[in-house]
Amino acid sequence: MDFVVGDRTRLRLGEQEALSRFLSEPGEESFGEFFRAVAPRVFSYFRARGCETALAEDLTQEVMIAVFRQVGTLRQNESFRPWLYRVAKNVLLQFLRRKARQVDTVELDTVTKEPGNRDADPLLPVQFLEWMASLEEDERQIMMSRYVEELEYHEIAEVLDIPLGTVQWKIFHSKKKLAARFGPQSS
Amino acid sequence: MRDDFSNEHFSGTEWLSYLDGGPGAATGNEMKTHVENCPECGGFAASIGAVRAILSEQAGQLREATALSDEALDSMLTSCFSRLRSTASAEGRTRWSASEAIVLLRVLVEPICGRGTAGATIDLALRRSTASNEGSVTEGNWSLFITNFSDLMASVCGSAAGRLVNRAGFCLAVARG
Repeated sequence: MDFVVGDRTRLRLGEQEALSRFLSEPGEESFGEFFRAVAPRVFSYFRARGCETALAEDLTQEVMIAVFRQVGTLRQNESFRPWLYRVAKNVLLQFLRRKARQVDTVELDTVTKEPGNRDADPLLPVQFLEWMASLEEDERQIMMSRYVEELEYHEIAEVLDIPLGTVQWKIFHSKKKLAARFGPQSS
Repeated sequence: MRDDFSNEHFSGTEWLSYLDGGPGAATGNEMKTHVENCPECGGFAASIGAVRAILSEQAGQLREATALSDEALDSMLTSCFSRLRSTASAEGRTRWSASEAIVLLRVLVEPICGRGTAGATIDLALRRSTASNEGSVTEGNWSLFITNFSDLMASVCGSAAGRLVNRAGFCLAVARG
């Protein structure tokens, strides 16, 4: 295969258009367009979950390579975005498992930081991270999926493999919790 | 509020549906009228609405802050192509034995971290890859070995060293054991 990065001055295709093209004409050029449309979302997914830039780039590449190899397994009626974020979630889990195995023998640089840590990353909005840190882990994942990845409720249910009703209640519960803790009447 | 969601006037399910735009028009309108005239319900709906607005705004800022430049995107794409190309062409390429490939990687990292650290890091990566010594690394667990080795190098010598090992390792075609 002869992969080329291509001309970035061309207009970027939309995500759906790029996906359709990649599925109908799989190859390096269509993958390049597809990559440009999708990789920023994946990168943002990892950054929002506390990964530093270099790590987020590596994990994004892992996801995109997995997508390149496995996109043929996407069922006809299956939505792409939940599938993509399931791949991203699995890549992050694998990384965290590997990292956990290393902790006892190797002193690691801190490559991921707890969301909400004020020192985490000065570029990220502190208030959002603080709010997310105040939620339970399952609530945080749902709220990030909803607001950062902008997934619909049914897509969140697919990504996290939980019932739709649970997604609705958790989002409502989280907002109520945030309103009570950080809202104007909280003090 | 009596419990987590409901109050004297509406159940949790009604609130969930109302705030999520769910119920039938009649129920929704009835509830809307009530919420507009009831301080308790109005305050609750307003606080939830304010939280939702802040979340949307802040998440938008987060997406902007984590946007990738064209240069970064190109670099990642080039790296992906390189990894895909190395895999695609591996079938027709001269393959290294695992021992030879590990020697090549050792030669690569020794100037960075020193001979002792290079050896210790490789040994540890081998143990973590279910391989007790260099001879038991095969095509099947080469990826795992490289992943472990690059993670360890990143921990010991920094992320740039880890990425170097990762990229070099995935470019080496290892023969079946």
